[in-house]
Amino acid sequence: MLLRIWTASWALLVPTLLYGQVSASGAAGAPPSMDPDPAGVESVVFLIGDAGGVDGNGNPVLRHLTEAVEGWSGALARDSVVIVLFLGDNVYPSGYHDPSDGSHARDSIRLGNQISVLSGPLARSFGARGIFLPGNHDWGNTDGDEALSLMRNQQGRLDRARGRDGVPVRLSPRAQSPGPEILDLGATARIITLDTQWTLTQRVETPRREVFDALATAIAEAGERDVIVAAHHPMVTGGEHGGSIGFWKTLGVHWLLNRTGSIRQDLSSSDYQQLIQGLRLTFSQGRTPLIYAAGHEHNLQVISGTQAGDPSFTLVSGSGSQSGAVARAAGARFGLGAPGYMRILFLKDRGVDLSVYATSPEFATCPEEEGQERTECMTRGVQLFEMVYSERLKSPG
Amino acid sequence: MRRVLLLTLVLLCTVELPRPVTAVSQDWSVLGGGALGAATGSWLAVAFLTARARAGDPLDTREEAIIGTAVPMIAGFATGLAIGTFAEDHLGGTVLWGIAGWATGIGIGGSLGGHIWDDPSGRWAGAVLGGAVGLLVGGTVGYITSGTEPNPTAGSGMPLVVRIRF
Repeated sequence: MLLRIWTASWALLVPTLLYGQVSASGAAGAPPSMDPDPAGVESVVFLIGDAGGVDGNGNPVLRHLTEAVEGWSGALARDSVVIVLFLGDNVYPSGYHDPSDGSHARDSIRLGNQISVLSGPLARSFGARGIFLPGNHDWGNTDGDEALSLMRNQQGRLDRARGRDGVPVRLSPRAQSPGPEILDLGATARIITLDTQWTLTQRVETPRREVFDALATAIAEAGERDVIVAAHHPMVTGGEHGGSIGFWKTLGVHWLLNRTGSIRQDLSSSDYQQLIQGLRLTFSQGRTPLIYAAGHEHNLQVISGTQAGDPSFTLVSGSGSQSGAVARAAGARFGLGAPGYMRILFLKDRGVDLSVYATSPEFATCPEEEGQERTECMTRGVQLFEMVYSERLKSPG
Repeated sequence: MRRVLLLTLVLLCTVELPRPVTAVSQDWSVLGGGALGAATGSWLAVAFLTARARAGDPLDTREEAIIGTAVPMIAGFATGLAIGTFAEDHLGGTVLWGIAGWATGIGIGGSLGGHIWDDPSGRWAGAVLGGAVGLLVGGTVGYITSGTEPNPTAGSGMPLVVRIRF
């Protein structure tokens, strides 16, 4: 056990030292306080993605996030100021099947574990909200009627949790709607959600352009609010989908297919390139969002914009239930292949602070069956959580 | 692209020119034929998937890629084994011409791909497709033009030996 803890500590610490702490130069301001005063905080947004692979009764990531949501709900003690964005791939491997399907019980547990993040007493009292975005796995990696059915199932489950159990969770955008949908956090921030899987699978140019036009309008009408555009697919990444693939991992096959742009879910594909170009064009013609939040990659990345049309910051938080390698992308400020999540604080002085929390990679999941091994895994996994990166994304004023 | 060139060099080093059939040389022919056949099958499968993607029907996930290349890889392995076992005198020529065609195809295809498709992966797609065409053409030409002439003076040749080691 001691060896495991030691290994876990170093597994987390070494990449942090090598990559995580290269972030200081060029930051928008000094690193924020480790323990910000809740009196100065207007609202809190948590980012977690690809958390749809957690069986049993949760994993260390969801438990730590639940504690954080409870803590901030109680500390702020105001209605609807704590938001959790689940950035897609909420149900692995192929979406939320209907009750007649043999996979339904497993799907229900996997989605239920994420709903539970918002089910604590303080979160309920103060109306902490969970926004679930669609990912490619939620669509079952397909399209048409099958995908629509899967998305409606997931939407129905979330609506029941809200209506029947009083847990304020919802699917956004709604099933088979590409978005954008708008969620305002008072006068400080505007969250705009997109279903980028819809855009990837949409073959007709006109409806795709309509989505980008609506997105431009949503950003333009945000007023003084800081804008977060949230979607499943990142615009830039140093992970596998961005081409950081070991050549020999699949004897060169995946590496070559990525280079030739033959996999839709990789940034090199023609469909994905059209999505990125559409977003860049939209952002470059109007106001650039402060944050573009995404999952898809099973790691944690903070990337600043490097070209016209890039958001100020791209935050990739997709290690809710598994973690994978990450390489340095253009504009990268931080990257870590470990299970975790991100927290954004919108301050009353109009500053915006980011913190990244992670535990050791071996604690992405714990044994499903209740018992000593699971208890130890959950306990150690939560204990090893630490803030691995922080940055002031926007200075006050 | 550097990795592909490096792989080309490695493969060229494995070329085995036709030699008199002995049990030892046939061992290597069978193994080499199988390995290069599997590599050829994989390349052709990747080329097929690339062509499909360029026609507007990309793979949805990387898992599909594994499934899509498994059968051609096994088929290529079996073909390579068969050539190494039953037509060993064709193996050297097939491999040599195949690699030459592959390398030429990569060069021509990569250049054309950059002109045909304006996205960053166009050059790679062209290289893979050109390499596949080169492999097929070169391998076929190599197979047809290689092989030893029958020796009318030979009374009885060495019997074919297939060794299976456990």
